[in-house]
Amino acid sequence: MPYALLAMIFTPIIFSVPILLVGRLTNSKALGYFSSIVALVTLGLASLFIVFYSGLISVTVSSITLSPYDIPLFTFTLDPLTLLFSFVVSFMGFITIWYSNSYMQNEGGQGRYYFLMLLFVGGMLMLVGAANVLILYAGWEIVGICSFLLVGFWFEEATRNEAAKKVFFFTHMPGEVLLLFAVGTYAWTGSGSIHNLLTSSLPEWQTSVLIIFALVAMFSKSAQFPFFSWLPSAMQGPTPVSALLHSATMVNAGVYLAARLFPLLGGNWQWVLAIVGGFTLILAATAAIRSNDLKEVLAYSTISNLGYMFLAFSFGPIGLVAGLMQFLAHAFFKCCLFLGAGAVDHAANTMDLNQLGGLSKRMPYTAASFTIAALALAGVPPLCGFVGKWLIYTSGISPSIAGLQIFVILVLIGSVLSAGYILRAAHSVFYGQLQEDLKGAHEAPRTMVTAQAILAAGCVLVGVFAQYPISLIMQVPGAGMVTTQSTVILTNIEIAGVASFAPTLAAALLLLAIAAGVLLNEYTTRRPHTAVSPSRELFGSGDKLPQGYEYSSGKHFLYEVTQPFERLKVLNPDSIYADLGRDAELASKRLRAAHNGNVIRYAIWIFIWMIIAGVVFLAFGGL
Amino acid sequence: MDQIIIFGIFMIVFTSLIVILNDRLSALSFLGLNLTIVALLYTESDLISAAIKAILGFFPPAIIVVATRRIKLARPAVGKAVAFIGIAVTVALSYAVAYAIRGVFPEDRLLESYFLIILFGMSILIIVSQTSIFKFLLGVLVLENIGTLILSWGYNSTVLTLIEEVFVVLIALTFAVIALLDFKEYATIDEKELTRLRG
Repeated sequence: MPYALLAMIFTPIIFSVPILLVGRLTNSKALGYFSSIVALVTLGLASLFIVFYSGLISVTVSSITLSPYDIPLFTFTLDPLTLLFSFVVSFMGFITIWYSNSYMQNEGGQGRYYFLMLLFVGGMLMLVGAANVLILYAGWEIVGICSFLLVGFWFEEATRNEAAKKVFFFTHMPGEVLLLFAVGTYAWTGSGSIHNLLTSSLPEWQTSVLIIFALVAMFSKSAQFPFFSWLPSAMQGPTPVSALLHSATMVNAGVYLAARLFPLLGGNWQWVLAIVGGFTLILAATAAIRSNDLKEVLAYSTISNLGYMFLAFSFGPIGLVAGLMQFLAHAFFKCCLFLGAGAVDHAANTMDLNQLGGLSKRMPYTAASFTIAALALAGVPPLCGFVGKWLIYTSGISPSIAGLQIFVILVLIGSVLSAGYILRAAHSVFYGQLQEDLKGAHEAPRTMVTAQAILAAGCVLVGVFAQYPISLIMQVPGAGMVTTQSTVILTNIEIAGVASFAPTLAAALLLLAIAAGVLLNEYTTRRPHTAVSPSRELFGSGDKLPQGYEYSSGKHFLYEVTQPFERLKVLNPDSIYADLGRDAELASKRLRAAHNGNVIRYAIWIFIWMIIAGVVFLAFGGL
Repeated sequence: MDQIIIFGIFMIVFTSLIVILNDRLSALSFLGLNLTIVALLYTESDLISAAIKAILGFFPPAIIVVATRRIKLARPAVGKAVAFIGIAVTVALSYAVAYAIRGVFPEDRLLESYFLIILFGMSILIIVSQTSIFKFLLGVLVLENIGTLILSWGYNSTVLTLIEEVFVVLIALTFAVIALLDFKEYATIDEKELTRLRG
């Protein structure tokens, strides 16, 4: 089994290299087929673990002893948390790569694309399988670099390049604190083992420093407030990349880290998670309501759902189960939604909600899959999103520390908004009257449709048979006890440590919120998909109204109430990013004289700094 | 212990020869250094690492020899007398530094650690005393050999040794290509000259 674990992690990484090399010679479709097979083998190995998992597996490939440190250089482990994430990563990896066979078939640079996709999957598997913080950091960086290169895949276009740079800056720079976290872990626990970190009794201030480093890293990677502004920019990459980035890799790295370090995140840290997660979920949901681009709506929806997960973790052991269930559900419905968006883009060549409409007549299969996933996102039972949200409500009503119940209000508002924005998006794209420009649109190729159908089926199956993933999640260290026969029958559920009325109240609140979202959205908006849109003519290009919201009798309620949040969106480090960019350019002009191309001179400088670092290291008595 | 001292002296001799000799002969000295390390790994019963080093360690000097046949060699930055003095000072200084920081060395690798610090000092000397890009490469490869020796102190490190050696071959190839391109364009591989010619 240890070798199977290594094979699962390294199969995509190793096979990505020949794909890159062959891709230099040919742009053949065979590259995509071969990558799909590699991804399928990886998924097969992950599935084997799901079936045959019987206990913790650890494997140390390489270790080095530099007294007093025993540094395990390549150490991996497989526990229920790794199992959950590795299955989701490999599953979504396979689906998106398979989908790409059609979506990317006419694009150049296929070798580079599939190389990066496989490396992306491999890096994420390395991250979730890491047993020590250095490997975790290595996986973290591989994922970050791949996302940068994939978002900037069409690098010939300046806007995409700029977006890729922004993604890199916002995820990489704050992510560097994860390196500090790794160094601190080595220094204070005497080993880089994550297990040792979780079980050691460090002084409180040292634990606090490590947690602060970890929180900054996870919030930046998972696009939480204030580091959220990069994620909508990441939409500049190919749609399958967005699907993978949002559903299983990259942004979920922060969620994984939070779940892994969950035993350390008790007490006041729960408040930090609750405030950041709660604020982010509302801020992003309001942005999604106000957005008029399909992919942007989905991007803000990801940020909002990640906020749900962090908020859930703050509620305690049941919250951990809820957050991880939401992660699983989110992976399925979000990947399906993005692939649906890709199919729409493929057919209509636009993502603008105003220019779309009635596509279900031309794309019935895509419409069906998209609608199922949208209902899952809204939290409609018995789909997967319902289970995740319902558990979040339940854990929020009975959190492990008093006072956190207040955040259920944010969950409630978030549910109203999410039902509002996703059903608006689904309606604007697929229903109503078919737009004149879209008469020639056609259903996506079979590969793309099948990929979406599998994910839509997953949304149903994960929801109906939620007891199986829940029983796996309950084995994650720190998780609470939830037993259920089937989520279809809510009465057959037992949850340890929550008030007896909590599950029923949670279900009632969630259903009410969905109904409110649907009704508010339905009765305050007139859809733009009429043959002639009078208000569009009336307001022209200079209208004050967003194009997706056309007034019926009065004002659009959800749009109006979310107006104040528009101003809060500027509370992000974008201005710092712009200033740093300008300063870096100025500094580079001044430092250019020092870069004369004499490599030996460079080497001398490196040695000087190495010696200074060595002296400092020794002066402070080593680590 | 005697064995370590003998191997250590061999390493210092070979690195000193890299400082003194021209690029082509330095590459052969580097091959000698590699073989010394192979022997050291062999005596430590790290047979697979020794085999990897023996096979892949042959390529970097071979690449340098082949590349230098096509170009005019650069002149050393310093004369032979200065080089000899530099070697003596470097060895003495490195030993003094190693002695001063001996407290941080692994207890069971004390002697080896002394030699590693001296090798580190020699690699600095190789790089700063030359103008040729190949000497720069050799200085870097001496640093790489320090890494190989440290890896041999661990366990299950064969995979890393293999990865390291493969990268060393790729690095040597890259440097050789850069040198050939530089020589084609500027008719020299002297870094000082190149800096001037590139403007």
